[in-house]
Amino acid sequence: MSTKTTAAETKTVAEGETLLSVEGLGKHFPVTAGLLRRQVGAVKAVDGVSFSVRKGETLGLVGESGCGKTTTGRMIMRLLEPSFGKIVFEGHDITHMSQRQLRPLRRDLQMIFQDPYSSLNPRQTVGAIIGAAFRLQKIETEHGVKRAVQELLELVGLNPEHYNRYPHEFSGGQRQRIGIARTLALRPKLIVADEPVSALDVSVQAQVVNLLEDLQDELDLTYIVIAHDLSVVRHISDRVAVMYLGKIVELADRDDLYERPMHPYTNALLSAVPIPDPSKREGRERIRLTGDVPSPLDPPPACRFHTRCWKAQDICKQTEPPLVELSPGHLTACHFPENTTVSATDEVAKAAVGGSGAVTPVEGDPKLDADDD
Amino acid sequence: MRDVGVLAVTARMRRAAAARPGPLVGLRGPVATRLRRDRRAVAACAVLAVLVLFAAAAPLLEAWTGHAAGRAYPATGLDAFGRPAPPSARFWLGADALGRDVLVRAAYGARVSLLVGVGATALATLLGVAAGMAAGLLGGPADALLGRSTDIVLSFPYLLVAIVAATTFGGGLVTTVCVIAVFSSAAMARVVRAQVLAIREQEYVQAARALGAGPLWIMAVEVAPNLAAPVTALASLLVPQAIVLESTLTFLGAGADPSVPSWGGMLAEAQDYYQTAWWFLLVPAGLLLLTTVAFTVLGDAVHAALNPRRA
Repeated sequence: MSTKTTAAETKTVAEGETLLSVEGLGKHFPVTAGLLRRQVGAVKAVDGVSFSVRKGETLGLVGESGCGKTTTGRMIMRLLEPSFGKIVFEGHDITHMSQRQLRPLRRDLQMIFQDPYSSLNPRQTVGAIIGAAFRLQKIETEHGVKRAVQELLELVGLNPEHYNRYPHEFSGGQRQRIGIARTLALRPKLIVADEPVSALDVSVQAQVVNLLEDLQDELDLTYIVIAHDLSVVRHISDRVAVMYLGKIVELADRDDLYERPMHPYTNALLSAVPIPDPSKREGRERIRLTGDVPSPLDPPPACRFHTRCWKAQDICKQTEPPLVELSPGHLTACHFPENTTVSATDEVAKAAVGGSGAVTPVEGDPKLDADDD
Repeated sequence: MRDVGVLAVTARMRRAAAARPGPLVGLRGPVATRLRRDRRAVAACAVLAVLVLFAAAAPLLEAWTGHAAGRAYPATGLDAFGRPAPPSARFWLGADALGRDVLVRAAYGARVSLLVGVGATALATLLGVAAGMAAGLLGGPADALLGRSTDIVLSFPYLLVAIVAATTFGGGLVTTVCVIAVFSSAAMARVVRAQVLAIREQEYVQAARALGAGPLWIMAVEVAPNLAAPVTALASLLVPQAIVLESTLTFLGAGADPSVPSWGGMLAEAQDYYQTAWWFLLVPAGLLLLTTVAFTVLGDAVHAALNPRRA
């Protein structure tokens, strides 16, 4: 882990150009009822998230189940149609591109799937699964598809002789490596990794995470890693975005976030991470969140976390805190953040008065929340 | 000793098949290899081959016995009281109530029954897979339309429709095959649609889309191979069902031309005589059973062979 820290530090210092930026992206799944399928509501899976990813970095996207992490990833991949917002990849607005227009861009934009048991077609050999990337993109390989696939298998640490085997002949970790090989076939620039290790044994998780890191160095990859495991995210990410009920509540550099978490939700999440060394557990305060995550069908008004937040006041139920930069590179959406003297409320007030330009209201358009289409 | 040799040969064939990234199903693909090594499959194929030969040899049997299929031989086929003759050197499988040769008629009947069984099933599979895949992949209004049409097809009593069709279009073999195919295809469409809906949600379909696959690729490469197992399993059940349906239609007079012998027609005629002439009933019934079992066993074996886990 220590080697990773130094690598990450150099990376953040040498800030790359923006590869992908997402602005106010949202997905509302309509809920229909009755014979005529009248829309009676919408599941607000993702409700306006904004972030950007720089070349060569790893952005971690964390949150509980159902907070919209996977939906966000799938929208970026354009496997799901966004309801609103904008996705810009390498300067191209890909939000509403047709699948035909997207095809050439898919070479640069790839995804690693969560479940290695369902992400490989059981009726195809490994060679056919990985080779599909070349066939679909009509890429001429120098020594034929078979050779190219075998090189990829070697790259991800599998035996190239296993070209003709079927997925069921491999273990979970090996299957995930096959999935990674397929992803790498097109030499993408950005890889969205949706829970890449959560379906694997802990011992295998480390191998796959390390493989992802090695590949990043070797092939100059940019990752968006979606995960719910905070230690995995801490290990692999340069920056981390915390999601709650379809919104980003905090976005900061990895070390900053883990050492000085500002949003109460992030604090609660981090306090739930087990500490292996018993002597270090002294003085640690465990924050227990009460209640369940509210339904995304009818999320709480204003700050979505107020129903479970121990610091909530009236303002939290009335005004939504915007996601603003409370310290350099550390964005939080909270009226009463921890580990800082300023809050989203102050920053917004300052901006309204016409103060410094320190405010970066990324969460843009508050109209979106009233927008129920 | 011999077994070892066979194993070595099959192993070599398997390696040869594995080395080529060609089609999975073919005379030399791994599926065919697994089928060849399955005794049930070999036995079922042998039985079906014998039945086909039997059907093909109908004119030969006609010449051999000297009994034309359509002609009655009351002088030799019936006794003094008008009862049909039992199996003998002259009538190998006995005679029917009119003194016709049961063996010759069963051979000609095999032609009709196998044709209807295989033909109707092939047509039903084609219709059902196309409709099911369209419904499953297109979703929305197309799905609703196809779903309701299968409901309508399944809610009609098929006999009624068959009789109406027979009187409207004439009771030929083609009408029979079409009626049976339409009714069987409803079940096939439902099975395929359900399977497509399940496959569509699999991450490997998403992965293909992420690589830039269009709907044609997804249908042909990702979905269709995963449909093969349930489709063959259902088709193997539809073949005997179609043969029995044809029998029923012929029995009721709404099927093929009654002057053309078919197993169903023979069964219908036998029902008044089976107490005096068991062979009259037993021959077509036994052949029907044999065909049904052979197709079911073959379907099972194909189902198993299509599963790469059985390698």
